[in-house]
Amino acid sequence: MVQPVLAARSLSKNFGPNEVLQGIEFEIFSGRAVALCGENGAGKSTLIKLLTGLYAPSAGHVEFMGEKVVWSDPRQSLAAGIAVVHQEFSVLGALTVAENIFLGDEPLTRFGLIDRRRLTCNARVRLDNLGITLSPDALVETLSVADKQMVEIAKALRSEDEKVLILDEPTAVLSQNETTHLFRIIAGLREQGIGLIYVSHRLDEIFEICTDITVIKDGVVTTSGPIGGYTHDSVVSAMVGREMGELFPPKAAVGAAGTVVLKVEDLVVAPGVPSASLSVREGEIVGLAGLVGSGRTELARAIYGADPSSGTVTLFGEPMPWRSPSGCIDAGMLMLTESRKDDGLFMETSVARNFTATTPGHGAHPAAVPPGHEERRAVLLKERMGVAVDHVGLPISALSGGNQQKVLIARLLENRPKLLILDEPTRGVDMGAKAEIYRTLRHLAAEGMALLVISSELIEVVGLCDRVYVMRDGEIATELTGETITEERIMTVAAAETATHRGGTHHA
Amino acid sequence: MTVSTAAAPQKTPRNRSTVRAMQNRERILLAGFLAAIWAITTALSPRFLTPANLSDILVQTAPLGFVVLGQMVVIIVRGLDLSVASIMATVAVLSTGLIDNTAVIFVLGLMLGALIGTVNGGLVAYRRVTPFLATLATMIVLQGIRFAYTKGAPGGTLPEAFRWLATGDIFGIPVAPIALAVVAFALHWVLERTVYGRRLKLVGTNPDAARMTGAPVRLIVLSAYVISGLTAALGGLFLVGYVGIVDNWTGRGYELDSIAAAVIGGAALSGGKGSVPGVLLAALILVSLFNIVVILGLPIEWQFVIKGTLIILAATVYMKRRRV
Repeated sequence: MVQPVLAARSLSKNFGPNEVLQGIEFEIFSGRAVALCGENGAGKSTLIKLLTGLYAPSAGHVEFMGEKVVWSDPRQSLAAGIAVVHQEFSVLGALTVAENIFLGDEPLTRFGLIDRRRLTCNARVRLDNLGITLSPDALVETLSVADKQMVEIAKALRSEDEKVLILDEPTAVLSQNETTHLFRIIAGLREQGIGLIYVSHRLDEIFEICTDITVIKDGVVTTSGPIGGYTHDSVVSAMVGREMGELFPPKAAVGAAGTVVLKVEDLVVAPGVPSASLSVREGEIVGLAGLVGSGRTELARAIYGADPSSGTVTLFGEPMPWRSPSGCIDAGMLMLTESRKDDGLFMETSVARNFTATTPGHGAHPAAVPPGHEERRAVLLKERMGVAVDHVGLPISALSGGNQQKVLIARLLENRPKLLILDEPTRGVDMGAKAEIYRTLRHLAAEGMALLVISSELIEVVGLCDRVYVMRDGEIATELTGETITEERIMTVAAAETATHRGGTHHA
Repeated sequence: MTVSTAAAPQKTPRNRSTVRAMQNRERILLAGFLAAIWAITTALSPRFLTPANLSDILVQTAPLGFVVLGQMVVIIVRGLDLSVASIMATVAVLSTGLIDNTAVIFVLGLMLGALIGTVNGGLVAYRRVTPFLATLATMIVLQGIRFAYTKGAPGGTLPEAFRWLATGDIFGIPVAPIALAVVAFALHWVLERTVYGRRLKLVGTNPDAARMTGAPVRLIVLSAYVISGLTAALGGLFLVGYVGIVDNWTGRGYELDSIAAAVIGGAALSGGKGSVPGVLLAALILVSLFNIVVILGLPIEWQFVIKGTLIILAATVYMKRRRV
């Protein structure tokens, strides 16, 4: 049997009490492309970090070219020929394409200065080999998102002897045409004998370009083998581990929605971005779907007053002239942000204080906080929301993603909101917690709350929302209701090529 | 909702202590350090542990104590106030120069301090000038105003009542530390027990998240500099009262001493951390060290070596402890 280039041998990893990966077996062969599938939080990125030496395994080991290896540093795996293109760009806008590709490894003149002629020349050769049509002298910040992605790939493959290329959700920001182009490049790389790991949520793509598939769920490999033995449905059920019906509570009956709670008219988020209008009614869960970078988060933040915008936002028919987060909170509109770490949680602060951050004196005094008040309040977190924490005085960084998210949602509910905006409410949350969050959201809607949910997971949009706005290039491209909410319809609209798509530089 | 850590059942959680327990341990560490240097000095010199000397240490701690309280509040919101020493001198020079009624001097001084703090805070919070530059500029401008006013030689006498505030005592307890204790207690209560205090710390911990929870971030940042202006004004007035002479360079070096004390006392320059007891202990440690150097007859330069070493020690200890 052919020996794999890179392999995981009963690889395990735990962070404190959390076993993120358990006994993973995973192989990559040269010239083949293996799809790594799994829900967010299943352990895909942890596996990649173990394979490349960013993390050290708790048990098991990594095998490279048939030899057991212990990377103590990601640079070692890089030097050995394992290249990674991360979801977040690492290219520097102020440098040229050539400078980015050879960053840190520039050809030097005999005086030790950068040899610009050779730099440009080498970059052109690399780009040509990869079939990328970009000028080495172009400034990266002037490129479209897709072209930046190409620069990332060229940078990852700058040396000739790469053996493995790991692509983490490479098409998340690409349009259909750009994706097709990327696939041609990937096919070329396979012919050159490079082994690929392809991480993606998009099953169509996986079936199009991958030769093998490995599905991870809750830190264990649930299935793996040649792609021919799988169908869409079998991959989904391996990823999710349960049927859609178990995951999502039943939707509201058609026409059950009440009066209009939120009405957004002609909201312009930034100069040159098309205006957006939408409405959310009582008892309704409205989805905001679209690709990463389609302007969903920007729109939500503008509604919430977190970023400046022009246009009108009315809540229960009352216009909100002065919009700021605190004004929205007073009016009964609260928002859960996309990134817990960046603008959601206070990481080194206690669970209790995170929970009471919006309303420190709630139920006691408008300006003062009696001793022990927040701890007493926060105990309810455990009882009512089932947050698993030994002591509410622990820093919130000690909690798992799912529990952190529950604390944040509980915090929003303390204000008795009439409208909730939730940006990626289940990001980085395990399946069990996901199902609980879906149930909670549906329960809130049934009690009459209006919910606007942004999600990049189509299965979530389809399973949860009563009505869906699909965004593309900063505008609301279409509205779907009832039976018309399907993954296919959403993707067709969201990923359609438009004139303005190329050169789009904003991303969520 | 039920717990969903099915992947890892019955695992012993890593032994992490509560946020409060960690802060308490830091303060115990500081108190232990203070006790240790006092004990060593007592063993080495009989002149240290006398009521007169301890009273001296407390009186000398008062001005720095005031200043470090405000400095800490600014550091909590990720700032830095380099203008505190300049505020001390300017407030002292102007208010004692203009008036000779003790009460009016204090009112005028506090108003001036608040005004300067508003300028600092306005620049930082609303014009987005970095704290370092904003307060550096204010420091220089104030210096110019002060010298223009005094034409280089400040004069004026201090009222008796004013001197008593800084050097007198009530039933044997010096007045200045009592005043500091009152202000410190009030600030401690505000930080720990009010909505404003909670928000202040949250803004320092994560301004973006604080904004999303409805905190008026810019107003809170502004207020921190106003508090620092007020405490620096108090520090300046108590210092000239103690020294007995108004000088253009009153409080020289207090900007760095106050930052040092704040950091040793547990305030993190990355924001969000700081406690009144912690920074007051640190101020007491710094003043004690100065006193000890004098008592033991060591060369006066040694205090700088000790002070610098202490900052490095504090920084490394906190780094290690906090990176859990």
